[in-house]
Amino acid sequence: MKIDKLTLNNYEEVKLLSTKYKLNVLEKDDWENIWKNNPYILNTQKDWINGWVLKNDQNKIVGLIHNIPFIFYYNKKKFLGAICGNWVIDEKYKALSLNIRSKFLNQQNIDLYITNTANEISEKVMEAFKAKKISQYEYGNRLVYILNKKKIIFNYIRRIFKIKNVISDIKNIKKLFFHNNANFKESFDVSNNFSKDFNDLNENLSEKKEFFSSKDYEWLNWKYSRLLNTDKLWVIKKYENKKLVGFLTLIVNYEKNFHLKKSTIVELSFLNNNEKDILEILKKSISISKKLNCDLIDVVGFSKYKKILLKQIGFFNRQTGNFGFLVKNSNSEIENILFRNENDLDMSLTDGDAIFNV
Amino acid sequence: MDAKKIIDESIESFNKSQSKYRIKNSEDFELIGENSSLDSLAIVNFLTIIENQVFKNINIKKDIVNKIFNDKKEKLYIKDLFLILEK
Repeated sequence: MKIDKLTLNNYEEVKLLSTKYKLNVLEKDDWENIWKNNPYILNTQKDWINGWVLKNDQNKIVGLIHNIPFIFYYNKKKFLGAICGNWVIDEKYKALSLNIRSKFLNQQNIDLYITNTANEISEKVMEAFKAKKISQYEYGNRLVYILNKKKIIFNYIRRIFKIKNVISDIKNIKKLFFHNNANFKESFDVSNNFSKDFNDLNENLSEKKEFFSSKDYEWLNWKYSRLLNTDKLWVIKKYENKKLVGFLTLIVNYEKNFHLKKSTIVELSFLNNNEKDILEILKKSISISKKLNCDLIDVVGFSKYKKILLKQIGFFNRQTGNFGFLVKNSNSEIENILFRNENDLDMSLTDGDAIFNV
Repeated sequence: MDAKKIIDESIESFNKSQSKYRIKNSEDFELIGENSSLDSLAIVNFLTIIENQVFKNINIKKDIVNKIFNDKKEKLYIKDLFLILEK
């Protein structure tokens, strides 16, 4: 047995092993793009390890983990994160799975190690390696806004006997009838891609005392590359005196289990955090989602302030699935921000490996 | 620190906590490696029990999991735990 570095030539074997254990794998070009066009790797020219593979004596890949660089900002400072993904091991070699996980979690010169798609097992494993859930306000609560009431209610009725918390769900259904007033005066620019002025926006955002992932033009293009210029990605931009001051990004997808078309708010950033601006852009996102015939909008993550505004506009909590955001921190400077402060964190679903599943 | 006591108590506690896996209280029992019968969850559960036992016994939080894997050894036996705890 040996552990090797993952290379771009390993795609077919990665796909085979991942598919065997029901993990989604991106199309080859998109998978290669994770490292080929990653801005950190491109800009630093450093030898980044793409991940690790466990090979058996026949040199066949029997286990693997991805290792992906991400940049975060807080109060003018930049922090390097490593995102793990596709942690999988053949059943026969299960006792060696921690050896590849530890390769990821014990790298040099990384500020924080992240996973936000952890199932029960990988959550316990991460915690054993001293990773913790971030203290961001209600990160794990998915917020939902219903657009197609008829269809959603039909789905509720159909699944009513499977629902554990019937009373809370009935309350949520009631909310549908009182919160759908999405009237607004719009002053937005809508596109299916990001523009160069995101660089200035990111520079200004980075001065805030908010911990967030890069909103730089290159980073956003990389993160959402497979969706750019398609009707699956919608970028709503707010300008003031021709200056980009905020934006919201929607990803449109299909929830197979519920037969619902949904849009997910994956980016929401403003320079001034002006309540009116945020509410207006949220209303705009509702309007676009309606036009796209989405049945619902959902959101995971974002700061406490934004969450409160989302609820104010009619989003409600729907506790489903596992949305834990786990971090092993190796930089004492950000320990308090990550784990003892619910206000300064502004992480979303796409700030971890979940980006590759949306 | 009485490493033997901690390991004995941890093995007993682990074996009582579930019925799927059994750790034999023998120095040559392979915890991590090709011939181990444990999966990742069982291994971290056992190592976490040891960390808790250490804390209970000497009131010190010892990061045994990262220590073990930082050593980059492919295999881990019960006897290796004695060395780690006694360091």
